[in-house]
Amino acid sequence: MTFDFETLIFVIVSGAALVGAIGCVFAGRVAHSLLWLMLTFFAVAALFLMASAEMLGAIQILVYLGSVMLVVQFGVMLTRRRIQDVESLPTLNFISAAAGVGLFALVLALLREIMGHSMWDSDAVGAPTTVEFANSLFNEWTIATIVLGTLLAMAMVGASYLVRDERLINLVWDLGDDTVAASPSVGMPIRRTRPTPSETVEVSSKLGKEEEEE
Amino acid sequence: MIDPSWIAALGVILFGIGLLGTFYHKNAIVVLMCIELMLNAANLNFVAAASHYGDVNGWVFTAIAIAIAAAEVAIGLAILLSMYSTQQTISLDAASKLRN
Repeated sequence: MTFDFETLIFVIVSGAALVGAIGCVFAGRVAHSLLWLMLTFFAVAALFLMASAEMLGAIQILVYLGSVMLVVQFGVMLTRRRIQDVESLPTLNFISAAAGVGLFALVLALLREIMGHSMWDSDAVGAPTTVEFANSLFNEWTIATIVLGTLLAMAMVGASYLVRDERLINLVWDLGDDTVAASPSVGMPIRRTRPTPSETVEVSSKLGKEEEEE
Repeated sequence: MIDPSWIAALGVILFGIGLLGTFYHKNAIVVLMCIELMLNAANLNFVAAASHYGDVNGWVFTAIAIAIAAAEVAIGLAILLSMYSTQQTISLDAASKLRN
């Protein structure tokens, strides 16, 4: 293999990807871990470019780095500080050591399988073009694209349903306090759907007593 | 162009690191990110095969995988935030019950 400029670029980019991945696994905090992961995603986008998949590189940067990672970063930052600490990593016992050795063996076996596979024996045809990609996506894979759009819409609805806040005081906040006080029968009764920790303790202790009485 | 088998090999190594992360961590957000890493490694293999064969289907699969990963992150993060608001933790050890 000749050591040309492109090989040098590949070594640098793949090294960045590996460093980012290892940093993602072993970083001390979730936010740092996320930043390392973004480095890996940038490197993967560069690798897409090197494999002549310019469109996929753009999608990678726009979708992953532009929106997904931003959403995760917001999710990490909007919650309290406790969510950011990586909790109690497991101690190294026999089982985890065996799992690590097995994982390493798995990676080595996969590497041997992939690098020695007979598909690489044939000559490389060359990467497809973006025009072919668009034609294939919107002719051959039309149904898949439509289903994918439906899936994304359903995922967005489901995500907003999961994190909904159904407290009445938040639903009618712009009507003012008088409206709520004057017509308490409108809408759901005012109550907190998420009890404070002290209430949780009370309720759980009551539940425990009831179970004991039964 | 670089030999696609090298890109595939890098994908395998990234997949192994992501798998290690899912074993290693208890924090659910980090596990989610490591799953993203594994998805990206699979995408690398798709792209390498597409570059080798000159077949555009690998690119289509990669685009679909990226879109599904975006949906997965949205749902996963919503579940984790909901779990954090009810249990005040996102440790996977605490996620042992499906309802209160």
